[in-house]
Amino acid sequence: MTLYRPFTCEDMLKFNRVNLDPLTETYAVGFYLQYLAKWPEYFMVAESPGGDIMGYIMGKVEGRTSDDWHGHVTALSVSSEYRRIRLAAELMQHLEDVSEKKKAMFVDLFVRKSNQVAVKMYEKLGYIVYRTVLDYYSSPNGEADEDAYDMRKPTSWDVNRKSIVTEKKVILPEELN
Amino acid sequence: MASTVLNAVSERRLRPIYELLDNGNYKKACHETEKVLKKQKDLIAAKVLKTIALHRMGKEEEAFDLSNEIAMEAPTDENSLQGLSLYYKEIHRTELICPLYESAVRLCPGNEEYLTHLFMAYVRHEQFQEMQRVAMLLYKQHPKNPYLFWGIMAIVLQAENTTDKKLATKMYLPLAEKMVEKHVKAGKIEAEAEVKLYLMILDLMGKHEKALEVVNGDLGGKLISDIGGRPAALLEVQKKLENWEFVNEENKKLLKQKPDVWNYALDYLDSLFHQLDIERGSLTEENNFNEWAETSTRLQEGIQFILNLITEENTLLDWKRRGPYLLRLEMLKRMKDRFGNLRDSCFGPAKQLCLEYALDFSPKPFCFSDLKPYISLLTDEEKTQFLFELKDQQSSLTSSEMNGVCDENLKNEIMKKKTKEIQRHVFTVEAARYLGEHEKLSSTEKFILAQDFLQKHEAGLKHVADRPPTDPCPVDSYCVLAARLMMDVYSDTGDTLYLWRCAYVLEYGIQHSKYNYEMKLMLIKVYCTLGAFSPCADLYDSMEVKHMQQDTLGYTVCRHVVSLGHYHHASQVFQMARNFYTNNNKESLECLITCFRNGTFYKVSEFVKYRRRIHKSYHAAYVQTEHLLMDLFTQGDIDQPVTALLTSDIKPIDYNTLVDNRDLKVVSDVRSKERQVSEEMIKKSFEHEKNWLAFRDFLLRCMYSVLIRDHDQTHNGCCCHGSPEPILPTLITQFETFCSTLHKSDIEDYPMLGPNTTRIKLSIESNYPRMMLLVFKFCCDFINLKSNPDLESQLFNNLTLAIQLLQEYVATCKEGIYSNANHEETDQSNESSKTGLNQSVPDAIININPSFVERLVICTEMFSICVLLITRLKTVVTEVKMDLQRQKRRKKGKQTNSPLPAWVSGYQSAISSYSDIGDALVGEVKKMKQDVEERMLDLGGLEIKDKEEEKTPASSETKEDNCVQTNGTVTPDDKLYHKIMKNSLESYSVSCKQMLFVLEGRMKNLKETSKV
Repeated sequence: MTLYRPFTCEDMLKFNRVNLDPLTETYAVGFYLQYLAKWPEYFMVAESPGGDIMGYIMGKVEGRTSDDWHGHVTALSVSSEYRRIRLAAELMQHLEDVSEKKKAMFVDLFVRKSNQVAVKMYEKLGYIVYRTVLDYYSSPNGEADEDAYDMRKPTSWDVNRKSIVTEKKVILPEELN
Repeated sequence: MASTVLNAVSERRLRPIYELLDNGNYKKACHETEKVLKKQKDLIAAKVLKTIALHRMGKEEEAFDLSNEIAMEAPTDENSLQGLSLYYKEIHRTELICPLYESAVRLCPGNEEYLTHLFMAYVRHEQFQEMQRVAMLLYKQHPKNPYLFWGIMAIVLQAENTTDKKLATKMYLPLAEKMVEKHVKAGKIEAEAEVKLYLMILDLMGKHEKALEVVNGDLGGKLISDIGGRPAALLEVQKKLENWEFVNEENKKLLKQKPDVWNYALDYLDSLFHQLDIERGSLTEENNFNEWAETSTRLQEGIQFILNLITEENTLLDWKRRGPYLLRLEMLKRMKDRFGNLRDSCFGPAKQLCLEYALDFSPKPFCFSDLKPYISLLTDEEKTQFLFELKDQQSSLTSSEMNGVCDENLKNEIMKKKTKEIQRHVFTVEAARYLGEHEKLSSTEKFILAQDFLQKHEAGLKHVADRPPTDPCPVDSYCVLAARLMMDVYSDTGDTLYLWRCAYVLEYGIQHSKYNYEMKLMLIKVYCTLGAFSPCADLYDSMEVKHMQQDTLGYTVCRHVVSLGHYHHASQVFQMARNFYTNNNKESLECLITCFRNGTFYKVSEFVKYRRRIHKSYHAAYVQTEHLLMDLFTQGDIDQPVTALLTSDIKPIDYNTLVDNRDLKVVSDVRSKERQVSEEMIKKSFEHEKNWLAFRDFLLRCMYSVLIRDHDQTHNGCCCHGSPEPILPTLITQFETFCSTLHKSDIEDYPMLGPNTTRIKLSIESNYPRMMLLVFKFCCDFINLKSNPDLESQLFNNLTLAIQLLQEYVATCKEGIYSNANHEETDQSNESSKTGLNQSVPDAIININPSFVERLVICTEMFSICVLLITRLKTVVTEVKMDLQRQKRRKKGKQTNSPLPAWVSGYQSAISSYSDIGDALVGEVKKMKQDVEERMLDLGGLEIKDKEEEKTPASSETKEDNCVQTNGTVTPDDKLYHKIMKNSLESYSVSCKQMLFVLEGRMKNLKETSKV
């Protein structure tokens, strides 16, 4: 049972149980606020009946051309005790719905290549690995940098599913526009 | 109109200077600006760059003077305006941007960009009225929709922030409404954000009928972005209109589509019960309720609706959502709350429903928190039965151990099944704990139960061996449960033996699950209680607590890092936290501006409220005050002159508006109602923390007051910006009043996983506030002696008493870090159930007396502050001596040789009393250090052995694996106690070293003063 509502500034004071997860990054306040100020409808939180934050999704819509106009998932995280109840799928669905309304051609996201649980889940939701971005995730501890999968799913606006076709399957981070 | 751009020549001359500034070459930049200014002495843009260069070179006063000069010249070119704004931002004086652009706008009327900058400058300072004025000016000259709505939003902000509610409802909101409507009539509404602002205004005015028209009308068509879009907006308005029929019907439809959405469930129930309340009318008797309930079609329909949802959900065998089942429980709870105990519940007995819920969902970790609110539906007897049947249910679902080789698929299946079983069992234990079963156990029984959990953990490890380390690990719960039990025994007996055991359990758990933050946070609490801070620093770092989390989780370390004397580390964490608050202020402000730029008006109020909440955060005031104070007593006149530390201005703290942002729910324990960390407990602890802050703030202000006087005399300059501090006598009076409100008896201890015990408790015990009050009174008299000689007769009374209080307290801290407490061993050494808990806690730590560390640290602090103040007063003595010498010279030849006044020798004897206290304290700390380090040396021997072992090909990891493989007879890793010992002893040693650094510095101060 989940309560869905827009993420608010004050949720940053309550999201510790989600963000203390090792794969969830806690960004500077300005980062969250910028999303709230620019794309508030892309930032949603799931709350348990007891009022705990179960998870949240944060994203945006962007693109230079109409073909490139797309929704982007910046962060998606679910607290460890609320995993495996399809919450992430619900949150993704919401973001896709918003993107449809905004006439986005596709939705994309980046995920660590090693995060197999997440990759599999996105695949289940209809996302495909569009390309690999080499050394996208830098590691602070001097360990090797990690590659990212750039995953995509076309929306209904991309009738011919053009947005998921690419010639270059592997790119460098600086090639991202 | 004045020019807004520089000519090409000037532009070309300045360009290299911009580059120099960007590259950090400030000196050269400054030099170059001077060269340009020689050629064009009136080029303001060059002066601006010089200001920036000077400021960044550290020539702050010169820079500020120059900036004032520029402001007087009222620049109008873009380069100067932007440059000067940047400078103002750098010196945190953004309020000066407003007059800068005011004059630019005056000189360049109609300049859209400058007006926009001016508007944003007022946004920065929440000057809503000015915002309104500038926005309307903008709109008049450049009729674009956003400008109009900036102005309207500014009016709404005035309405929301005025203390005069009448003004809001009678003036601001109607004005905002009228402005929007005029625009609507003109057909000029363009964006969704504008419609939302309109609805927001109508909502604030309570004009829901009108809002309904808007949502249903053309404008409503623009509402697309939010969750649910227009229909959701419509539902919101209907709720406000209390159109329960509509709300109920709509939510029914929504629930049929998505039965797992709690928003719908809540709205469904709220609307249903509103309707029922109306229908029920004036019935009050319970009997009537029963009769009525049976005949109320609406209620029966409501019940049937939920039953249908459940029937439907029951058909989904493999994937049940919890929604309908929770809805049923919530319905039952609300019926009971409203109508009392109904004779016959159409859903069946509550106990049965809870059991069913457990059957379906207990393999999920959230199951217990879901069910918790509904256990209150059961009578005491039913609770016992529930637990009994739950255990029955669980054991029927437990399969026998499967051993031997099996293929991958089967292994996966077994793993999944085992995980579920573990989760079910954990659920049962939590339910038992919640219902008070653990409280009934004796210490020995708790110990045995904890051992059992550890065994289950060990047995379960093999089922989770393949999971990625970053995934949550279900068996971790066993360690958490065992650790909670050890904490229970510690709370019951006060015996630290169990805290060491608890540390063992958690270290062991973390060893197998290195990302489990819950165990880390628990372990931090355990180590802090044991007086050992160093391990906490590592644990805290490993969780990567940063940014916002510093405000909400900083409390877990920021208290003990000072109270255990880890000053170096304290300095780091305080600085990091203070940086966060500065950055947060800057970033959130910029984002507030972004809200206006992007037309996200409905978020503006939220941002403003958020900014206030962080601005008024207790933790922000705490880290600031504590840091400044700590610098004074750990560094002032020790590694730098205290006067060099007196540069920061201390803002007054408004204790009534401070906000508690601590996240005390991040780690929780399920316990019976009486033992649960309650909201009242948190509130109470916050009040005590505020007392602590007030105490620290008084200390800081009084110290500043004494020290600044000294500083002013010698430096003849000002060191504090801003409001003048109240003078010392006033502060002392306030401090005295404050001290009289402190009572030790008010303060209780909280459960281990609740708030920290406030430091005010120990400070009252040690007479810290009273002692300081006496010292400040003495300082005040001493300083005023020259102007008021009457003070002399009573001069030392206060100080003598203060010295006596300190002496007495120091004398109580003599038992040393090792005490000879008896530990009641609960070990029921049962060979078949050997876990790490059976190992005996090593001698090097078992007798540690943790409270000793904190007491010694507080002594050090008190001593340091007293000595700093007293030795700083020597200037008074030197002055008198110099006066006497001058007199002597003048009266040369005459025989009268005026002696030093009696109080000078009194001062000297105080210095020597402090030296004696210092000697005693240094002795104690050295003894502790020696005690600890001797044990560390013993450990050193062990460590060499360890290293040799590690050289052998079998790495520690494979060894662990072996342990796990040997099923049942796991050899506990005895290296863990070694690690615990080593880290704790090292931590005590760090405490000693840092105390000694302070104490020895102060002894030096005393020695130098006694020479004068």
